[in-house]
Amino acid sequence: MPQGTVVAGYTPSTDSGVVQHFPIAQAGTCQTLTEACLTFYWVDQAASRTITFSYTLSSGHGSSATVNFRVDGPTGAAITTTTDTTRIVQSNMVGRGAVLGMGPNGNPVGILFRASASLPMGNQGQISWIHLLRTYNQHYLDGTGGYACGLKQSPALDVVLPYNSYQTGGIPHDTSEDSPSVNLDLLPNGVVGGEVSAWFQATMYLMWEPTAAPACTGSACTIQVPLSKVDWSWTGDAVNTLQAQPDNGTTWKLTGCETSSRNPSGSITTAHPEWGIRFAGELECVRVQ
Amino acid sequence: MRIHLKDDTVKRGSEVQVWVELTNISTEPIWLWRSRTGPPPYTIKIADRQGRPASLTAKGRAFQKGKAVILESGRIVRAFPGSGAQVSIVPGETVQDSVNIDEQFDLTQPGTYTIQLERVDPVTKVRVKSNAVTMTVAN
Repeated sequence: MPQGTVVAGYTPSTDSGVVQHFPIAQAGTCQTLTEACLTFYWVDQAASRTITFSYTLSSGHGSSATVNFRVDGPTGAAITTTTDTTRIVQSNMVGRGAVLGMGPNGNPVGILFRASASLPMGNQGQISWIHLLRTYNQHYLDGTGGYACGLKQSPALDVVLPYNSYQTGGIPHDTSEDSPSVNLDLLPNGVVGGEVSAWFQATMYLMWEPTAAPACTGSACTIQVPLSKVDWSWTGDAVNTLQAQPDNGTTWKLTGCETSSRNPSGSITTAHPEWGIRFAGELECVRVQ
Repeated sequence: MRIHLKDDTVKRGSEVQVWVELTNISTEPIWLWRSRTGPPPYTIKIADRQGRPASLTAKGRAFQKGKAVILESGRIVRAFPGSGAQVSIVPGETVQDSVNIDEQFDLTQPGTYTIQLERVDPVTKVRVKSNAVTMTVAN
């Protein structure tokens, strides 16, 4: 087995992202010893790697062959973040009322993710982002109890794959952002939102996928690999005072229970992001007393 | 504001995405919200060939009233937290946005539908209407 990480496959979709572990003990996968082919994805990076292939026949005879590889990949990959505070603002969308959020109006953004890396010469490949929600909860409390809302299942892919990105530095797709919020005045008539709280924990992954070798055709030539990840969280808690608040122009004020991440740092990872469901912008709610 | 469809003809039950082009025709830069989740900043009008409005889903009824939760029997059963980004548009610039309408409208009946979007200009408070486009839902 070569150094680094070896995986059988990784073909994420919006519905699921699962690493297939090597070997897949199923004929036709090119990963069983009864087949005349051998396919795996080698996740590694080094100036020199020596791979030796050897076999021993049942007669006791055998042979081996050795080859040296230089395995190129991005170096110095890192994620830096810039976070805004949790605030209550009057939405700048007409008719939307008060909003509780981290970067609630999107300017500045709630959290800005910036990627940096030196991409290998000759095969720059492409970076992308995957955002997973590990928890996402919202509570609406009124005088008689309230509602607890959460994800059906976690971790969940945050809406889209890859996550929205754009370029601000030297690499295409090197920047991404999120501005989570809760609309405070959008409850239907008859439901009084005395207190609204929201909190989630998420992980943003910086991914890289090399350009496939020209000789390789089809869709199974390369897989995307993780370079770095950053865990972050957001909490917001607001109560309706029913009186105008001079600092935000609404009747809502923060309770002081906000403990969101402040400029969290990324860390190197070799573990692929995995999820079994897509968060489509919807939380399920139950009545609580 | 101009719109066009990703696909002019769709199979019933499939995703229907409307692409939106937003152009700043003023002389000052403006900021516009592009929502990723939560109620979108657009009022969506869809009518069949006879001019009858298409039925709203529960999510569509909430969103088109600007609400962020769905009630069943007086109880909240689903909530829609918001996320998105503010985008700056300089004079003369056009930015892209998109909105999925199949999750807000019942488009399971084959036929031809006319789609038009509206949103409020955050500076002038003027209600801006898009062009109307036609879509066919096939079996």
